[in-house]
Formats: sequence, structure tokens, C-alpha cells
Amino acid sequence: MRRLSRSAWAVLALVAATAVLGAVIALWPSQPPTAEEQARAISAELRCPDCAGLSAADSPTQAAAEIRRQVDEMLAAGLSPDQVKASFVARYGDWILLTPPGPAPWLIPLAATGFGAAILAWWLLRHGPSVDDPRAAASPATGEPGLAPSTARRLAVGAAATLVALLGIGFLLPEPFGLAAETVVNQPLAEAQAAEAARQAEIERLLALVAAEPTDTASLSDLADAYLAGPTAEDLQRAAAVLLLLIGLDPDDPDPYARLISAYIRASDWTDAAAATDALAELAPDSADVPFFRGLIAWRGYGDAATAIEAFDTFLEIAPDDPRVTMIRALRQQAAASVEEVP
Amino acid sequence: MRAARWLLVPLLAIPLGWVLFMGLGRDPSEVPSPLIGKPVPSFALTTLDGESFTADDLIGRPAVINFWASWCIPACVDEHPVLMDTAARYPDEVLLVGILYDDTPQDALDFLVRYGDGGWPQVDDPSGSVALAFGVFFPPETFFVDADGIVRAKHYGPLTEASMARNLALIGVGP
Repeated sequence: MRRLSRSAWAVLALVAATAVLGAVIALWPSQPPTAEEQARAISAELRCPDCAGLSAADSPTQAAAEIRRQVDEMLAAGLSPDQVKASFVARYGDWILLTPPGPAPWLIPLAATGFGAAILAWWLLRHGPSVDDPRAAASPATGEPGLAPSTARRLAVGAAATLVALLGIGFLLPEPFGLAAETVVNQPLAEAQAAEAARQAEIERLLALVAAEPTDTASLSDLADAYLAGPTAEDLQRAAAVLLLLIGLDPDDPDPYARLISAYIRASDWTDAAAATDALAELAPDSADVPFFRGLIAWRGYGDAATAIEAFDTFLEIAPDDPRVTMIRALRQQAAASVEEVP
Repeated sequence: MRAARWLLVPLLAIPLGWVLFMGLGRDPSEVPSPLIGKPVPSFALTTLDGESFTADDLIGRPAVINFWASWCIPACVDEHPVLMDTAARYPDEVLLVGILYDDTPQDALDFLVRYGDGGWPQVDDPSGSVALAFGVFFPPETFFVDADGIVRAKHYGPLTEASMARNLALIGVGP
């Protein structure tokens, strides 16, 4: 094989350096985006329904504002950015996406790369001196014998193939190194145990159902239960977000409130728990849940024994057969004892 | 040299042909709704008369859900007689529902005083969340829902007598 000229080496070095730089930039692990950045990025990818050519992030219309609000809500409920987008596709079709799905956005750089490689091949073939070039024949001792067309072709095809292969590898690499990874999804830090894995799988299944049909109240209700079974504060926050979605869909249904209040109480969010209890009291004034939660919040949240005892007594009066009676009796005793200790 | 030229032709022609094929084969006025064949999205709103109205109220008989606004002129004015006519012709067979799109109740009531109130429920959607759940682009848009609560058709733009009759037939209402 002939030796390459200096200019050919320079071109090859430039191609290799560009490819390596591009790969490093593309594969460099980035910081996981904050919720706000995620919400903004998703809204920017969704089309505003009632204006021309603007994203929901950039439009001032009511529909765009509602999209932004719903994106925040769904992210809080634990849907991934792809699932949030899918939920809008379920209502509007692919039209709602400013970037069309499918291979189109990825084919453009690939096509551009191929085009560049073709130009390079053409240039090398045109400008590399051929075998019967008089200069090449005349100066065999200068160390620059020129580039044979077959070598140039091989080099150009090789360079193009390398670039395509690098892009291909980028797609195959796992998150967060791959090109296909759009976002970094929070994963449980510890190795998941079997029950936890099953719960996560159930959550994934329900999230997919919700993404396909955003107003499916049965799936939302199951999703709230799945989150409530979780151990972390994040689970509780997501449960609360899902229950608020349910309440938004049917404000007159008292059913999600009890679970919402439980979630707030477990998260020690006494203010929201009290507010939700007040809302439940308006919807279902006769429900035993109202004095149950009022008592719990007063005693465990604020240490207000007098209010707690009053609420516990109301609960015991209206729901003597409730399975929670034993627990409430014990709490009432605690509260009563604390009052007696105070002189 | 010759090989390079042969390479250039498909490299230029294939992407260009692909773009043209994808773009020119589509009708820009046709945007199909993914809701067709699916249950009507759940919602709970209040009518202009202050009564509660939910998606469950749609079950039991075919329904026509019309998203409109008092500012949607002339399209919503043009289609109003068609809706009035349907309400008068099929008082028991079909339930008409108007859902306000980005409008105030007062402006909507003024519109009904001016162009006629057919007496069907008019529902306010103050946040626009229900329009979003239905995938509404721009009023007027009309959904045809069968007695089981399944969306059977969606009509973009003002209804005419012909389009109303054609879509009503899809939900089992007709002469």
C-alpha cells in the first residue's frame, strides 16, 4: 500500500478529531434536569392548540396555560416526560408534537454525515494525484507520492463508516450515555426488593394507562394506591398529586379525600391535611372520616389534646363499629393523660 | 471518481424524495382525532344555570358535544341554526351539550339571547381543561358520542345540515 501524503494525513486527522469530539460531546453524562427545566422542555415540545406555530411554553393563550399546568401536575404525579407527551398525543394525535416522532430528526444528521463523506471522497479523488500524475512520478523521493484513487476511496468510505458506526453505538449505549436517552429518570437508589419491584412495575403499567387515557379515573385511583404503598416521601407527594388530579376530574367525589388526607398526615404536612379535611367536611359532613382525621391532625400534628378528644369522641359516637375504633380509643387515652398531667 | 458520482445521486435523491413523499401525501386540513372509538373523557363541570354536569350524564342516549364561543364569529353563528334545528327535531333521541371555549358565561348568555337558546345544557369550562381532554384545537368543534359513551365522530368547523345528518347517523340518530 502506498504511503499517504501530508495533506491526506491532515484531512484524516481532522475527520478523526471531529468524530471523537462529536462523540465526547454527545456521550458526556449531563446533570439530571430539575422539575422546572423538565416542565419547560416538555411544554416547548408541545404545540399550542389554538395559535399558529407556537409552542405551549411560548404562547399566552388559555389552552397553552392549561397545558403548562397539566404538564406540572403530571410530572408531580410521576409520569416520565415521554409519558406526559404521550398523554397529549392520546388527545390530539402526533399533531401536538412540534418535533414529529419517528426517525426523521435522526436521519437528518446521518444524511448530512453521509453527504459530507461523499464530498470528501469526491475531493480526495479529484485532487489527489493519480498514478500517472507527472508530479507523482517525477518526485518519488520527496516522501509525498500522492494518493492513489483506490486508497482515497477506501479512506473516504472508512471515515464515513466510522462516523455512522459512532452514531449507531450512541443509540445502543444504555442511559445516560446513549444518544437515545432523552432524560435521566430517577431510579430507586437501593437495589429493589421483589415487592418493591412489583410495585414499580404496577406503577409503570398504570402510568402507561394514564398516559394513554388521561382522564381514566379507575387507573388514577389504582395509581394513587400504588404510590401510597411506597416507602418514600416522594411516593407520598406523587400519591397526593394523583389524588388531586382525581379530585380535579370530579370535585364532588369524596372518595379520594380520605387517601389524600392520609398521605398528607404520613408526610407530616399538617396544614394541607387540615385544609383537605375541611374540604371533605363540606362534601360529606356526616362521614366518620371527618372527626377521625380532625382528631389525628389535632393530636399528632398540633398536640391540641382538647380538640383531639372532642373529635375522637364524635368519631366513637358516629362509628362505633369502625375497625379504627381501637386505635382511636388508644389515642384518646394518650390525649386525656396529657391533659391530666398539666396542672 | 465514477463511483463517487454514483454515490452522490442516491445520497441527494433519497432524503429529498422521502421529504416530498411524506409532505405532499398529506391533506393539511385533515387532523384525525385519536378519541374516536374511545370512551368520552371524564369531566365534572357546572352549567350556566349552576347545575352540575359530568361525563356520566352523557351515558344512556346519543349525545352531540359542541365546543363553541361567543367570539367565534361567524362560524359559531353559522352553525347555531343547525344545532337549534337538531334540538327541535330530536328532542328525546339526542342530548345536545354546549361547552364554552375560553369564554365568559355572561358573553355566552348574551350570544344565546341574540341567536336563540335551544334549552340544551351549556357548560362552562373555565380552565379549558375539558377542551384539552377532548383535544379541541379551535371552536367550533363537535363530538358525536353514542349511547354507550363512545366517541364516534368529530367534526371540525361549523356544522351544516348535511354534516350534522351524516354524523348523527353514526350515533344512531336519524329519520
